[in-house]
Amino acid sequence: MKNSKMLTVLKDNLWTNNPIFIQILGICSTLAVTNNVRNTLIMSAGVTFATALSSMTLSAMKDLLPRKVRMIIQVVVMSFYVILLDILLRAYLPDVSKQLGPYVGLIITNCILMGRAEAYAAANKPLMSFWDGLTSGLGYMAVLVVISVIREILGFGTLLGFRVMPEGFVTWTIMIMAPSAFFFVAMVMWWAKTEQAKRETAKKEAKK
Amino acid sequence: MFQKQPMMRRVLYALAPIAALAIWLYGPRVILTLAVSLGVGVLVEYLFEKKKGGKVSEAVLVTGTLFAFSMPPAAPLWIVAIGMAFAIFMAKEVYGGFGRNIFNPAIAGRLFVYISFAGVLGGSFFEPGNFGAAAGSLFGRPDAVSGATALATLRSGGDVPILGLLLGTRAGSIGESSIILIAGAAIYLIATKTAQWRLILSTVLGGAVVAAALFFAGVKQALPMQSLLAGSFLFVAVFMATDPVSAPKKPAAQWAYGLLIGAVIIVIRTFSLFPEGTSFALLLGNTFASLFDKIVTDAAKRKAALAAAATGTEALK
Amino acid sequence: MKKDSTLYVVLFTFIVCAIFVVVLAVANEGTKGLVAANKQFATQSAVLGAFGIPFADAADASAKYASEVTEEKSAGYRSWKATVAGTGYTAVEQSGAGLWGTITIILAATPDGQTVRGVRVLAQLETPGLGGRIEEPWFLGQYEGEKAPDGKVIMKAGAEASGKADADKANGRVEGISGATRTSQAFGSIIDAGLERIKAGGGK
Repeated sequence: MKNSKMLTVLKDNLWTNNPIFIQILGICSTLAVTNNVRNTLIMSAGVTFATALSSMTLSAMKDLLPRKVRMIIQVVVMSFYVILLDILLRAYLPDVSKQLGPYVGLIITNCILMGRAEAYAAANKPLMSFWDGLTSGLGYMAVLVVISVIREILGFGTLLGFRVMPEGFVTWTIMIMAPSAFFFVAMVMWWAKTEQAKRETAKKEAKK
Repeated sequence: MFQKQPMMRRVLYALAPIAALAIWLYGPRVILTLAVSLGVGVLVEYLFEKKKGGKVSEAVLVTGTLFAFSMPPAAPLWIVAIGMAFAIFMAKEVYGGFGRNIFNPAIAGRLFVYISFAGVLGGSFFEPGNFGAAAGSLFGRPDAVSGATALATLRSGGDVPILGLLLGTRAGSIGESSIILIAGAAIYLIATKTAQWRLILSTVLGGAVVAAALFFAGVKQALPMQSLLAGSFLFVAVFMATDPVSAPKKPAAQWAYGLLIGAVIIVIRTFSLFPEGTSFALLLGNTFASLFDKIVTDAAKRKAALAAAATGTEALK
Repeated sequence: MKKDSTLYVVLFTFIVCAIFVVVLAVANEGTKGLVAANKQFATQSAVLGAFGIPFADAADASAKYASEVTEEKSAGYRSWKATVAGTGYTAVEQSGAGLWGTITIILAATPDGQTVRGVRVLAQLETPGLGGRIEEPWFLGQYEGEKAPDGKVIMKAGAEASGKADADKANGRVEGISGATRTSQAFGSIIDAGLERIKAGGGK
């Protein structure tokens, strides 16, 4: 019983209700960090960490939470985890912290955190909320990594910093700039929605 | 395979003399650039339309020609192919094909490759004349030193002979060469009612007024007046701003659209670090086109409603 | 106590905030030493890098820094002196406006400001992947050993930049980053200002 519920949440957050291409949340960071796979991985790991833990914390305190200050407390909890992450990065991974610069702090503005807290953690048990936040973060990560792989290869000719394109390759400046992420987010949405519509009709056909 | 679009054919006729001159100026390489641009454009559109069961529009030939004309003469062919594929795919087919695109595909494609490969394209200009003698070889990429475009010369304070601008014997993109031929094409297009004269006139007017204002107000970076004849300003005014799909339909909206494009071209040219502002200005104009149309329609409706109300009260009396 | 009473709301908010703030404060205090050490290492490794003194790790860098580099401080600016392979060099910390924010570099050169020894970037806020590439070795490497006639290194930025490193050390020219014209130009003028200061004696 529990297992199947967890699977549903997993499938929901990775595919049928993916935060990027269905809920269209967290697009700002999608545009900003996806020109390089390494930063994308760290950033989306940070988002996953913050979403999972803040969802769990908020779910644990939901019975004590007065409605009047619900939003304020949510923001306090989320910024707590984001600042904690920032401090840890600065102390133990100074290079990464320097490269990500302001983006770590900007995780707090990522709508996925608030979205999951409102949509799931407010009505579910802490462990399931943790699982929901974790899988939401993974759904976000999956899309971002796909986009960043294409952008890094075309924009820098490298993958995770290793040269993959031949020497004479002319890099595509536009891939490094935010606008190109728009093209790719749009194409991912297009592909995902077409695919989902196809499966939907296939399912209906099968039922007939 | 093709839809018949007589309007688009007339644009092609108007472009033919410019193509002939370009071959004399920059050599047979121009034909190659055109072939790649048209081939890729038709192919991409065909692949899309096949799925939907539609036909390839003749407009793609115009887009392909205009795109090729906006490239520097020595542009690598793979860049031409990428730009054209982007133009038809991202700026036309994903919107639903001919007649539904918001942005002018040729300009969208040009801007995509100009931002991506600014360095390569910026170094792909060379001095014109004698079938591209300066290029060194007929089809290969020229090893000769790249020439400074007329606009670049003006920006660095140099002088450009007016005659060269009129005849087209100065370095620049393939199609923006001769002002006389472009003006001739404009007359032909207006006479055959292919292009809307309001769009051409308002774009030129907007550019000329802002350029004159900046120049005579003594703004430090302002370019001299002959800069209006340099670069792709007139080419864009005649062939791009008049694109019937992406331009507004109502006369008043067309005036606003042209004036906006003309003014923005000059502002970007004068103050930004980009060598030319026509593409940005046109996309900006495209963005506002339907809004302008809506404002004009709404105003007309309100007027009609007011008039109806007025006559209504008249009748009551 | 009722959940919607003012007292409960105030108390609840206060307690929750207090707990989280205390945890954050503890985390901050606990890592303070590490953060400071990281910062110190960042500066020391940048100075050693600019002088071209190799080092193995943080401890090695700290030792080499203590033994081979002398730090001077005057008028609020930091400068360093070191002798590498028999030649004396001066390094200065130089800041200037970039495209988005201040760029701070460590620049080492001969005391007459005619030959650059090396450059390292301490802090910058330029566009990641474009202007942010001023930290990359191919770009900074162009400065190593570059001659600076008239105390200036010409930055080829904008349309004329090829985006590839300029290998000629004697021409007093470096290539800017393609697509990052403004940052390249800003970086060029920060270098020139730094050379000026080195020529004037470092700290002044």
